[in-house]
This record gives sequence, structure tokens and C-alpha cells, in this order.
Amino acid sequence: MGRDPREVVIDLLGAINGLIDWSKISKDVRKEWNTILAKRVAMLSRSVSSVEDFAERLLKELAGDAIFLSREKANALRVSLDRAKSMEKEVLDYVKRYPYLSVVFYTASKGIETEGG
Amino acid sequence: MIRGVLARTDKETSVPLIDDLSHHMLVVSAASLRKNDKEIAVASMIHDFFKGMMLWYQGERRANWWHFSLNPSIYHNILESLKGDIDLNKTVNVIIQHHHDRGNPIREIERSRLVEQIESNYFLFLTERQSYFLKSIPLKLSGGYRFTVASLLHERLINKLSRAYAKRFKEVLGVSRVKYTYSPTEVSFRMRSREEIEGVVRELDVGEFRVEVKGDTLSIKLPVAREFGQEFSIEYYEGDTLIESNGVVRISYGDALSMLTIGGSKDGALIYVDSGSDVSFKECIEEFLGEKVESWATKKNISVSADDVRNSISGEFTGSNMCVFCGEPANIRYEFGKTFADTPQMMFSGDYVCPACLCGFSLEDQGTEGAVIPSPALVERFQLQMQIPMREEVALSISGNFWLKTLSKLWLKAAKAEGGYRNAAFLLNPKFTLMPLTISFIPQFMHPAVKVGRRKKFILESSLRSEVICWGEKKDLTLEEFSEIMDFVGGNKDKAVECLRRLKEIYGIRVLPKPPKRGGKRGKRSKGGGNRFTRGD
Repeated sequence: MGRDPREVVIDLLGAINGLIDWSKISKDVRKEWNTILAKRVAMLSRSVSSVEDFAERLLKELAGDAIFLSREKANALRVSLDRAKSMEKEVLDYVKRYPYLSVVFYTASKGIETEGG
Repeated sequence: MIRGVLARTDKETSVPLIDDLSHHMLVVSAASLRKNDKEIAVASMIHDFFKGMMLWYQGERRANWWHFSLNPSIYHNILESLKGDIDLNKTVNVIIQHHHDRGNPIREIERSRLVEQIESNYFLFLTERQSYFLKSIPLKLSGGYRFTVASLLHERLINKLSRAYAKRFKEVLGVSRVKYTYSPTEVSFRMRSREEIEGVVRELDVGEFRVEVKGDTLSIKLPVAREFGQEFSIEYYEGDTLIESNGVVRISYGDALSMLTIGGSKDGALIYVDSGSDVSFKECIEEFLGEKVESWATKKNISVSADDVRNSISGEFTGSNMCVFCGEPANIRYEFGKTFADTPQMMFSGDYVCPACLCGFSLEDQGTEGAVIPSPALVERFQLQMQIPMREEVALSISGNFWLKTLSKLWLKAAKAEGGYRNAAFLLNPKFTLMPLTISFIPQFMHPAVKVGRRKKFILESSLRSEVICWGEKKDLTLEEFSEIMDFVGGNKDKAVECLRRLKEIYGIRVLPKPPKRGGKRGKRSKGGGNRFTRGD
């Protein structure tokens, strides 16, 4: 309760990105992964109706079948989704308003290496 | 962090005008050069000497900001090193009397409309008497091309003015540069009685705060309250406005003493302090035409003269046709290509262009790399650092144009500087202290005819407030996004560097500096021989 939607979005993007098995994705795509993520978030944020819808479609757009699913990661996504659902409107508004910036903040917060997510 | 001292508050409302004290004193001094009087020029340079100490007292009617002592010996000490060059008694008298004597030259300048025009956002239609210390070139700014051309001409005028002011200061004062250093004292802020204030100044080691000539520079060390933090210098000179690596801010005279003001949607003016020397606006136009337009115009069999451009941009041009871009009188017939489609072209059947718009159009048609023109920064929020009797609520509406534009300019220079990523915290959460205010600002720019990668923005698409802070190859950074970044970064330097890295990658923003690769330099790998363990050293 009372959480900043930015923090929740960063957390959610992290949980979604964690499920993607980047090693199975071509090198060219991997190099540009953060730009591709930003573009997909921007595209989807216009039409999604719920955070679950957002997570599902983003995962499908990015990973296709290249999902690396473990119980631990699935739980992390569930926790993030529950958190996002508790303030769904604010989270969706934030992603719609700052789609590119959400990805900038997520990648900056995690300090993830560019190549390979 | 850029630092300064608030120049003044509005007399009636006590609302702070966002301008720096050194700039205010420079403006008054530059205007006083018309009198060709060394003593008046020096007195003007330091007339609000103690303002940075934030000595406030509650008077009978309202709170007062005490800023000059009535004790002549204090000024004699401050000016000691100039004893052989100027008449100290006269100089000190001009300072002490600058509020009380009706014939005082500083009072005369401060009460003219000059200071309001140069330090605020006001756009004033002045009578000749009111504009005695100002020179003004009226402008008709209807449309993007005209505004772009006016801004580019202003940049040229700034260079000429800088040289002219430096020359005038040299003629009158014997030096061409002025450097102000704000130096913190032990005095802390609190409301005081008037008597107490004189005591504070008496106890101050005035010998430490002095005016002296160092080479070609008039060096002025001003006392500021302890809360100011650390020493900070601002130098006014002939060159470009920039921040040096040691933190000294250098400001071009032309930037400090001239301004492009806008009133309404069409009217504007280029104004500058009249220091008694003439600078030719026509020469600026001639140079601009020679460098940017003439060869293009010759190929198109068009002739355009500096006089026509001057008259056109000033709204004094007469022509029987109407410009397709701005609707002002036009006389140049131009055959637009079939691919050129724009609203005015569809609305009007004519092919006539005014000389001013022709210049703007030619830049675009030649594919000239567009300029990034700094505009006054937007004050995002500010905080009063001390409890002083000052109304802060409406300060945003009349913020000073000069200083805010300078902030945008300094931000751009910091971004482009070598190793600019070291300024990441400043670039993504820019702040400056204008004691007693701490101000967070968002730099503003116009990007006429910008080309980034494969993307191009046409001049007519650019508005004054395009809300685009930086152009990116993949995405532009907008005002709203910048504000969000400021909030995200806060004062965290590591976050700022990481955010800068991601903005470069995801937005493709060229103007931002590239942070170094993570992990720093790798050491050289040894070629064979193993390590000291395997070698058995």
C-alpha cells in the first residue's frame, strides 16, 4: 500500500524479463534487447486492459517460446503481479505515460548488462 | 552545482526575481559606461556589496534587505588597492548614496526600465525616456522561420556585443574582464535589528573582501552568509559562456547584457544595454547572409539584401504580396518544388516569400544541420533555504530571462564537455543555488531543422515550447519525462550514471555524454610465461 507506481513497474518488468531465456534468442536481438523491450512496452501499453494482460502479451511478444520457467521465477512474477494489481490503474497509467522511461528505470535500477538481458 | 546570490525582490510584492547579484551589478555598471566615468563604473560594480550576507531586519512598514553600509571607511578598505587609480571619496559617496540621493547615477539606472527589462521576463513597450540605457531592435516574429532567423542573428549579435563591451570596459576601467567571487563568512543568517547589522559588518574582516586589478581582470570578492557553502566565482568576459572544469562559470558579456524578448505571438525585440558603443545589426545580417544564404540564393537566381532582411524582420518591409509562411509583406517569388507541401502552401495560391522567411527556408532547403538554441530554463521547483521575509509563490511567473537562459546554455556545455558523464547528477537532476533559493530546473531548447540519424524536424514544425529537451535517434526526451527522471535520480550519482547510459542506448540521445564501460580498463594480459605462481617467482 502507498507504493510508488514507478517502483512497482520496475519490479514487474524485472519479473517478466527474468522469465525470458535470452540465450535462446538471436545475438542481433540480444544486442538491442533494451530498445526492443522499450518499443514493445510502448506498443502494448496503448491497448492493454489489465496488468495480467500486459504481462502475458509482453512475454509473448518478447520471448515467444523462449521462456525459462522455474517455480522460483514464477512465484516472483506472481508476487509482482499481485502487487501491480493492487494499484492497477496507477501502474497502467504510468506505463502508458512513460513506456520508454519505465524500461530506462528498470535497466538502470538493475544495472543489467546490455547483451542478453 | 552552480551558485549565485539572488539579486533582488520586487519592491511592491517582495517576490524574488530570479537573477544573480553579480549580473545585476554588471548590468548597472555597463549602463553607467555611457558616462565615461571610472568612479561611477567601479561604484556600480559593487553597489550591493553586502547583499549576499542575507542581512534582513524588520522595519516599521516592511522587512528590509540590508545591503550597503553607511560607514565610508569600510569601502575605503575594500577599494584600498585602487587608491592610486580612482577618486575613492567620490566612488564611496556614489555607493553610499545610491538609494537616497535623487541625482545618484546608480539610482538613475536602477529606476529606469533597463533593469526590469534585462532581469525579468517583462516585455515592455518603452518610451524614449524610459529606454535611455537600452538599445532595442524591434522584431516581427510571426512564424518559425522568423524566430529561427532572429535567434541565429541574436547569437551573432552576442559575439559582436561581447567584443564591444570588453572594449568599453577597457576604455573606462582599464580592464576588460570582471570576476566576482562569492566567499562565505562566519556570519549565519537570522533576522537582526538594524543596529546589529552595522555591528556585524564592523566585525567582518573587510580586508579579506576587496576589489583589485589582477592582470586584465577587475577581481571582486563579495562576502556571503555561511549557509552559501563554498566559494564560487562568476566571470564576465569577451568569450563564450561555459563552466570550467574547476567550477568557475564564465559568461559572455553579450549573453549577460542582451536579450531576445517576446511579447504576444508576433512581437519581440532584441534589446541590449547601451554602453555608449555602436554595434551594427546590419553587419550581423550581412555575415549571416554571406555564410548561410548567398550561395544558395545565387543558384536559385534570387537576390536578397541585408537591408531587406533587416526591414523584413523588423516589420518595416513593404511589399504588395503576402509571404506564404508568415503572412507579412513579401516580394521574393520562389518556385517551390512539387514535394513541398505545407498548410500555408495549401491555403494560399501565391509563391511569394518575405526576405526573413527566405533565410529560414534556405537553411532547411540546404539541409543545414539545425542549431540547438538555448531558451530560458523551466523552474521545476524551488525551496527557500532560510526563513526570510520573501514571497516565493509567484516567482516562477517573472523569473529572469537571462539567468534561466544561461542555465540552459551551461547545461548544454556540461553535456558536451569532455568527460561530461562525470556531471551525470547535474545533467539529470540540474539544480542551482541562488541564495537563499535552491532551484531545480529543466533546460529548454529550440531545435529548428534538426536532423538526428534518419529523423528530421522541419522549422515550421518546431514551436517555441516544443517540450522536447533532447532529440533522440529512437525517441525524443520530453519535458514531462525529464521531470520524472529528476525525481528518479534524486541526488544519487550512481543512479544518474546508469540512467545516462540507458538513455543513450534506449532513446539514442546524442547530446548526452556516453558513460565509460563498466569495470574500467582491463589490465594487459601477460603473453605466456604464466603467473608468478606457475613461474615459481
